[in-house]
Amino acid sequence: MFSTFEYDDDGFRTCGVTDLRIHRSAERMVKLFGVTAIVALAVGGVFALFVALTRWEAVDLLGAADFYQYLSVHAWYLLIFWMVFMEIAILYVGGPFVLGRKLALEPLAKIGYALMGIGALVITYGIWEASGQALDMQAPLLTAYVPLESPPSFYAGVVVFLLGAVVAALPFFATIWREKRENPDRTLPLVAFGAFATSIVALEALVGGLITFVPTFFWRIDWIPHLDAAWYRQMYWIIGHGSQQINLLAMITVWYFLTHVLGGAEVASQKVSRVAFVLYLFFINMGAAHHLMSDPGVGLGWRLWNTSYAAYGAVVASMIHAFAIPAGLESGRRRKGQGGGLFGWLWSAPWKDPGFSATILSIVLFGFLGGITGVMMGQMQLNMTWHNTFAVPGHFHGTVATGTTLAFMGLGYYVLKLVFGRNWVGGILATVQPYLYAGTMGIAVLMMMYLGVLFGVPRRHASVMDIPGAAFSFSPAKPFFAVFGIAAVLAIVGGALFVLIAVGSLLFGDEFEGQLDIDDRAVVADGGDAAPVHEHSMRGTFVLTLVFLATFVVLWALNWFLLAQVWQVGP
Amino acid sequence: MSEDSPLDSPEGNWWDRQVNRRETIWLGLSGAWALTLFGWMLGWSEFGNQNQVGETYKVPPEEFQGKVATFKQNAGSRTVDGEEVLVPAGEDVYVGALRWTWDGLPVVLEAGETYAFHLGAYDVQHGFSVRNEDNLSQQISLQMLPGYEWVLDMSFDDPGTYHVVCNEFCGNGHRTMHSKFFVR
Amino acid sequence: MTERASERVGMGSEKQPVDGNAPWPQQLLDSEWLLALAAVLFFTLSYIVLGLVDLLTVPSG
Repeated sequence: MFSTFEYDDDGFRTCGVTDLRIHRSAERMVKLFGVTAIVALAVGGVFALFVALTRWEAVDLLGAADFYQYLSVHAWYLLIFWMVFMEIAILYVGGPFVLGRKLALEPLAKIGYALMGIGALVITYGIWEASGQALDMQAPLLTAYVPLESPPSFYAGVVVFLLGAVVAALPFFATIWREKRENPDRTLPLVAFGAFATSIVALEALVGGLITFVPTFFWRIDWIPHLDAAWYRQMYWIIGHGSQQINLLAMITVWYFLTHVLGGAEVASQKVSRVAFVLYLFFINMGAAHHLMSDPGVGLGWRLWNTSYAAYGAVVASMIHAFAIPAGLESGRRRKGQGGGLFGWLWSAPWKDPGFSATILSIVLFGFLGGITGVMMGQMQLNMTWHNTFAVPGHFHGTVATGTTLAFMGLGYYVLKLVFGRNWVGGILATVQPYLYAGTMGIAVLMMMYLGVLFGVPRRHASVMDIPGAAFSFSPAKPFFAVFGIAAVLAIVGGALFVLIAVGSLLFGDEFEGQLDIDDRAVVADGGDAAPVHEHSMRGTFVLTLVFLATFVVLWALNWFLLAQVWQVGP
Repeated sequence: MSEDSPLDSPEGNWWDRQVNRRETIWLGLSGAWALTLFGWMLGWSEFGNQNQVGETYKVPPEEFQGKVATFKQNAGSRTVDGEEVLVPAGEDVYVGALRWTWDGLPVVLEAGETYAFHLGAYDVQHGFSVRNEDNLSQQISLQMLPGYEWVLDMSFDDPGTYHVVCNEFCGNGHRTMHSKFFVR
Repeated sequence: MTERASERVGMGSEKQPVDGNAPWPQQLLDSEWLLALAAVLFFTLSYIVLGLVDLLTVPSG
């Protein structure tokens, strides 16, 4: 399908750029899941327009009932469908592609895909049914908090989708199983190890989701009389936050992959990066507790232990990758003669290449916007000033919409080129697109956070400028909403541009000739100076990470200072 | 040299390979920062003034509604800014959230006094989101669940008007849930 | 470029398999299934079980 590549008699081909030995069983599934992910991105993006232009009340596009339905579609298509379809594709790249193997149990990949597709359509139907007219036909949003009742079809769709994702992940596990059995003394390549950690985090999230939604579906159809609201919240957030932790690990795996292929990065330290992935493996899903910080029921000890990812074990992991990835780029490029001074390795990198620029923008924005704010509102007491405010979508647009989406766009550009064998259409538009999207979405994110923490503007509200029966409103916040609205619309244009380039390239792109269009001798070529990687300077990276740490500390202190202004709460 | 590629299997003993000095320093800084984050949060729970910690009780919604009704019956009355509001009889303040209003509010509280806020929802989940009218940054949000009563101490040093909105989606009337309390 | 592709697939790898002689942390990091099992157990205990204990011990009021 849409391919210019040919396979040998065993079904393999060798990629002329990455040198990976790729089997067509894995490749056709990567295409299927990857294209579906981009379709989901497009749909979610269209609905983003309606949501943004409603929250920007100068436009006030939708009424309340419609707003909650559109918001639900926007959330499911972007936070779940865009992400999970792409993540299955990433598992198939991280496993079979990197290991040069066939995709094991390929029929399960197809069955999983079908279930995910059916689940997604049933979820969409369930949301469409949720007109909000009846108390038991409420829009589910992403969370469907029991005992709020949404259409039964919605819950059924969720169960089918989650089941499909589990089934689709099985071929990855089987591929790794076979590799380990056949080569027991060989260490998995770092990207494959990252993909493995991603898959376990995903399994926890998906199984947690099934544990949540199967009983909830039965409750909704009156097979179970009562479901405890606190139990639901605790269980729901395993899939609610866990699904986003899959994004984190998949994104970081993609960062290692793309900085290597497009920038000449090496692994600064196998040991350190792998330990970081193991820290994630153990601790990252505890972050589901971040949603229960300002809840009754769960005790102080449980909250402190889980919200801190076991004393910030997972934050250490993030900080490790924050160093390791630019360090790998720096030492790899220095080794191949692309260094020079403190930041020469960075300035000389292929910034015109959208795969490269999207990756770097993803790293920077995820770290500064998404990561830092996640830790902020996960600090138990700080959570009181963030919980259910507009700053919460600010945070996760920082992580998902700038971080993960940019990384997946970068990967998408190269799936188009190296898997579909198509050059990009649009010329300079492809170069510009990541910058446009990153810049505008970054501004929108900053506005959301400001509005949430400093004005206390609530999330999930169709209008806050006009509260019936009350003189009070959030009108001092209007100028910030205007900036948010404009930035959001431009960001959606930036996202649409990616979809157009992707679809256009698939349909009309020239055949990829096999040589990357990057004038940079560090790219993809291994080798260079023989000194081992750790002996190449990482001073540029060190400066960058110190700037990051300084920002982290300052924002952390500001948040605690703000909390200290609040009245006395608690014992 | 391909053992430094993330796409290749590293060969031999890669555990004992040297780590770049700056990467090692960064590991130390990260560890210290992690301990700071954890320690500060722990310390605040002991010494800080803002901790959303309080007893939780399992109370069926109808029963909690009854408690709020009793609270209102026992409360006095006072006119504040032309509005008649409740004056809590003791140091307990009961707030019930329901579609789509706040039961038990508005009240007027004494500045500097410690009150026990009893929070609960009658039907679905709601969000107790409070802010100082004179300083919108002075705001907190707490979750309210049907079937649970959460008792939290609060005391307000700054007199003024505190506005309450619901910030957990509860249906189409969600945006209309507004109330307030005064601190005098 | 093509020699490395064959190396990667393991057709005629020249280096000695070393995992049995590798330091134990390396062997541990190479035991993916063990790590996965331990991680899932830890999560189940820390997040699910301990949280449920809190919820189940909420007193009646």
